[in-house]
Amino acid sequence: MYVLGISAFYHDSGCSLLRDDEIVASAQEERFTRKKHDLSFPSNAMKFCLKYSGVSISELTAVVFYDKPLLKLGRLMATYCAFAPVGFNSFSLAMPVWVKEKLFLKNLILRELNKIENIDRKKVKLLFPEHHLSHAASAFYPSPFQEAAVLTIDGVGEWATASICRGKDNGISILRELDFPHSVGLLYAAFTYYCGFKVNSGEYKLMGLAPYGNSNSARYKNYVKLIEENLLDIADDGSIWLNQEYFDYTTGLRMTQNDNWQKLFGLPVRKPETELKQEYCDLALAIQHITEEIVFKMAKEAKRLTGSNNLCLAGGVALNCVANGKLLKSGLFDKAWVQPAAGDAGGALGAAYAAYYIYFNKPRSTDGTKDKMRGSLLGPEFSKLDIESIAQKYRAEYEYYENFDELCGKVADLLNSGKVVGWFQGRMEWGPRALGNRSILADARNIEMQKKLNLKIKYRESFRPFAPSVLSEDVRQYFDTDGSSPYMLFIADVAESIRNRLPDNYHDLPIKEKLYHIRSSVPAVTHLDYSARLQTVHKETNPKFWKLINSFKERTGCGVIVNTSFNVRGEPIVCTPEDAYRCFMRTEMDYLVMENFLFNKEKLPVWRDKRDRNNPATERARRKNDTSPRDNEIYPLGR
Amino acid sequence: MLKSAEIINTVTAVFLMGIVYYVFLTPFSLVYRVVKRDRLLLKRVSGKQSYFVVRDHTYNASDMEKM
Repeated sequence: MYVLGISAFYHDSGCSLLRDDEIVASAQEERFTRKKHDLSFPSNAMKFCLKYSGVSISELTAVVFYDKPLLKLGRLMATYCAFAPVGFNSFSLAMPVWVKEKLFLKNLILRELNKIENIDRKKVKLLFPEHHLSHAASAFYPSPFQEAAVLTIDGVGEWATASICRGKDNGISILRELDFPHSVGLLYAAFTYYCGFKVNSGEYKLMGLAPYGNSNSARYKNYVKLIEENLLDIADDGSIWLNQEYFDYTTGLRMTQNDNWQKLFGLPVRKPETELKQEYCDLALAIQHITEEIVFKMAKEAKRLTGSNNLCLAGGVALNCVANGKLLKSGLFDKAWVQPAAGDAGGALGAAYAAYYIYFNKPRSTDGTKDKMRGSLLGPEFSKLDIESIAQKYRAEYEYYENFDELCGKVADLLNSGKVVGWFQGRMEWGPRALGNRSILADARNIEMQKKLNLKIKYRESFRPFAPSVLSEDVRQYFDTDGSSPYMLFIADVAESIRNRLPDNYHDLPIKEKLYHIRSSVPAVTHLDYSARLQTVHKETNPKFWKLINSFKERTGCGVIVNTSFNVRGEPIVCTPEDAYRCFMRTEMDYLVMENFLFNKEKLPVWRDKRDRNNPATERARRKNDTSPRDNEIYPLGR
Repeated sequence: MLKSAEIINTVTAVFLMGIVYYVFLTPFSLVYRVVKRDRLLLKRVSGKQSYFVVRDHTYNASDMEKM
């Protein structure tokens, strides 16, 4: 049985194909269109899934969309009714999309399928699970657990913004839900906006900024108090109420009522790209801690309701690896598993699984240890010939290694000598994290590396941390954890034994001096609070990446390297060898490895592309391709 | 020529939506607010123990059929 899942129209559209309970292929549309967070119908991702698996549309048992558009429209209308006559601007922006497309979603899906091949419309079975069921299914069904508490938290689906479910065998029961406009995801997004980052993509930056805040300062404590007394009420079970006098996302064009926030915090909304003052760092830390408190209380309620020792997480807030890491460390649950594509793209996979297990009532069994994600390496892969043709196209000289071990040795030497290497292998990752198949790699011990990677390779804010990839066998040697984190969805503290002591006046230092203080023997991956967004690399799921890190360890004694996604700021992670080559040539990376090919920048023809990062025309092109909302643009709840 | 057609199109669409919003939806919303009270829980209720909605529902095949 083949089931195709689709997510689209909100942010991060994607497509997944199941053959019975096995995930054959999954990909996000942005990787093909090269538009970051592309929300359009995932035609390219769908074509890839079908082509990769050699399945025709007539062989599909069902096509499943990840939410219920009419329920969502009901919520939108109820919201306008609650605020009318206020809200016309939002209404006039949202409704044309509904009238033109979403009300006729069945037709739209059938039309898109028909573009791929001629179909008999009556024979295609279309299904529509609830948005949070899709998230819950994406978290529970591929997990290694036979039964679990399932927590989904995001911005908003139809009405629900969070849910507590119980997963058992092939069934999911929803026990509690939190309804719009009271939303943990939107609360976090509001602070993301207020601190000068883009909603729906800058949440990660806010999380990275939080450790620069000072939790001992009077200002931080005052922010926490102001938020808790004015912006929201947190019940003991983690459900929240948001005071809409401070928010504008229901019917307005911004996330927050800026005047009210400014009066409350005595701090204006930060303009993007301006200097980051300590006040914003303290505000980021305050909302991060409040979010962690809410997530913990919700998880506690999920534990009370289900009695389970296992927890599954999904929804955009489940990408908050700091909250996840602390939740795991608390010991509330014995085991926790997070869907690697926890955001909306992952809804495509969940929708397909929900149909397979619930609609078609198929039995489910697990071995209790292994998940079904295959290391989340579920996207396209490319042949030797594909890479050779790119080398020909750009007249690029390369070395080809027949022996992969030899290549690993060479790359390990390069990393050891301070070089930055683009690493492109096998199938592309599913989800927002690069897990060693579309990655930029560097030496974590190098004290200059964080600065170099941020400013010369990724072209992004200097405060942002980098993630370590560590051999799963060696994790305890470097980090204070026993667990595995193959998808970079949990943080762990750097082990005491490799930490350096902080100076006494550390909290009084300017942000830049704090940043470049050498905090451990792997400084490039140690964040300000000694945390690290950890990836444990397992020989079984990614043998090539494991082999490379092991070669580095054999030479240096260090089983940790820096792993950051193979892209530059504002662009999606690379998909094809051509994307990789172009990205490599436009940045100051030193070497590129694609399968067994090694490209040395010094030996390559000068890159003539005018689209370098300092060119204003390039910046305009990049912004045109970036479909996430701008700071002054409507938050697309009505879309 | 094309641009002026687009402008006319946009103005007409906004005008029509204005009629829908202010002539139909706004009066309806006044009735809705009386009948449905505070569906969005905009007003804070003091002493509320939980903001969760109790669902207690096991999903089944029929939950997925309607759009």
